[in-house]
Amino acid sequence: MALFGGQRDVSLFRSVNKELIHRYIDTEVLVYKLNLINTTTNLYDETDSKVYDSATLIPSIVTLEDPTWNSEDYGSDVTQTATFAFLKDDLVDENIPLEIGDVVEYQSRFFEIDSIVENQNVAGKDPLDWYGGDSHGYSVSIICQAHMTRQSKINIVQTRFGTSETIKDKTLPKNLYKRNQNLQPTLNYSDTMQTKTLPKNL
Amino acid sequence: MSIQIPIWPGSSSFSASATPFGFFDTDTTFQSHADKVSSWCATRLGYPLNDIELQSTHLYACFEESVLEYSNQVNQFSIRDNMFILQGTPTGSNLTGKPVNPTLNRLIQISKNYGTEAGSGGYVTYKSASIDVVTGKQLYDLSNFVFEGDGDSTKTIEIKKIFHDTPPAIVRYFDPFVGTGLGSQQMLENFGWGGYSPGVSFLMQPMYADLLRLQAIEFNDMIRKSAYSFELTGTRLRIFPVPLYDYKLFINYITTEERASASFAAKSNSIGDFSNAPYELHQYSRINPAGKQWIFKYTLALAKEVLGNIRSKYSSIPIPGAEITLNGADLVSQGTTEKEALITQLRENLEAVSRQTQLTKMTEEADNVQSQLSKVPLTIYIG
Repeated sequence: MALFGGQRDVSLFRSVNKELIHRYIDTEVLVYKLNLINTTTNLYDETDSKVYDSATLIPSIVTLEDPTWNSEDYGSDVTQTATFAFLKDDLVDENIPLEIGDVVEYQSRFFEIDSIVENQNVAGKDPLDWYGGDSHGYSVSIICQAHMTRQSKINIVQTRFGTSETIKDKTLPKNLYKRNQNLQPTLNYSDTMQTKTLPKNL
Repeated sequence: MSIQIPIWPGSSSFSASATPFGFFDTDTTFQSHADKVSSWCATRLGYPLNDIELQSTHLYACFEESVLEYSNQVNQFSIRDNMFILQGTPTGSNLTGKPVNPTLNRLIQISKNYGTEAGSGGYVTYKSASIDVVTGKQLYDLSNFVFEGDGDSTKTIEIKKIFHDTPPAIVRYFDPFVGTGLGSQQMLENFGWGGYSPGVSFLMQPMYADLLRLQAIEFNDMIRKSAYSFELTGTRLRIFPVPLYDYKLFINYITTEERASASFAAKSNSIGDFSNAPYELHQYSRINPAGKQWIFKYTLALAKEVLGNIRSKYSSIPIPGAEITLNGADLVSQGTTEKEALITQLRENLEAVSRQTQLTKMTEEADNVQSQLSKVPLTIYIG
């Protein structure tokens, strides 16, 4: 039985983390979970029309790299990478197991997750994966490296459309799948969600 | 297993036995103030903008400890100020918050020890021993004396007095062999009252006549006779002059054991030291506002220490992708400093009202008043 990193200590870490990330930093991102069930694929298990679950607002520590501009034959293009550090508790609370390919929206930019790192453990222990039991340790974070992706590619928002009201109301966006209501963000985030315009078909 | 330890929710509700010792739990003012002080401390620590990783039990414990500390400081001062007066008095009554009138009791107790040595009272009983002096024998051993106390012959004794001295002159005032002559008979003869014996023996004369006669007897014994004296060496007693008749020689003595044990003669239920001076805890509701304010501040200082210790158990706290350091060390430092300052302030205030300081102030005040009055012009008396 370890002496340090018990659940009482972890409770302090959790409390401090939530206070810091939810109340002090208060930076939130929309996470679109790739819906594999409703995404149709071709013979080679490929698709050009991915379907995502509706967005979930998750607090995150965001580190944006500077955008890089390239001028090519077809004009200018921009690339950007970002790091999204999530408190694992927040993802567990929202029941969102992040995976490569999921999309994170931040400041109206969409980032597709390239890699996920989950190895920041208190006292070197993840309570869900420690032979000594689940009474010690704390898996603090899930850190995602992502790159900015083209909006037209993921098709979550309509980037090119006319002025027809019919089109706008009925078909946009067209590839979001409504998540289970029980997994929607809690009321704690309602104030933030009012100021942030969510996709209309959540 | 994930547990969430609740932290300060913004309010509390005091209940009996919520404090570690429960010394003041039945005091309604304490009950009322416990929640208010807790809320005040949390506010001073940053709530509700910051989370306070404390529970109401922490703050109640700090509050109780503060009242204890205040009471302890005041009582310690009172005990120190009054110990000289209190030592030896019964432990029965609670002296907390009560004035102690200074008495001479202890001074007299100490003086009695001098009385013991001077043979005029004290705590040690003078006992006597005797031996039969034989004609012609000057040397006697103390072990052969007959002691008053059982077993005293084997104890270490200290001889206080040896009754071997010239008989007082007054007992030989009428001794016809004294050699000085009374002189009164002849005088009465001249007055014609010579035949009125024995009444003439009680003729009233001036006092100086008696004194001169006694002095003459003493001089006579001192100059013409061998002086009464003795030598005491170890247990051997040599008396002078050589005894010319048998008589019984007495001594007064004490045992050193009894003199030493006189130090512990106080009753078991009397005040001996700090530990049993009858000063109980102060009743919180009867502490004045100045004292309560001190208690509030001390509670906050303790709360800072507790919160600081909680926040500094780990030098850094992991957050997603980084680590942060909390202000635990600062809080502990602040709390310790504030505690020391409060204790110092309280002690200085107590010292300022000590008996000695008050007497000094009164003396200075009297001197100053005297000095001022001396400058008032005196009126000119016109008869």
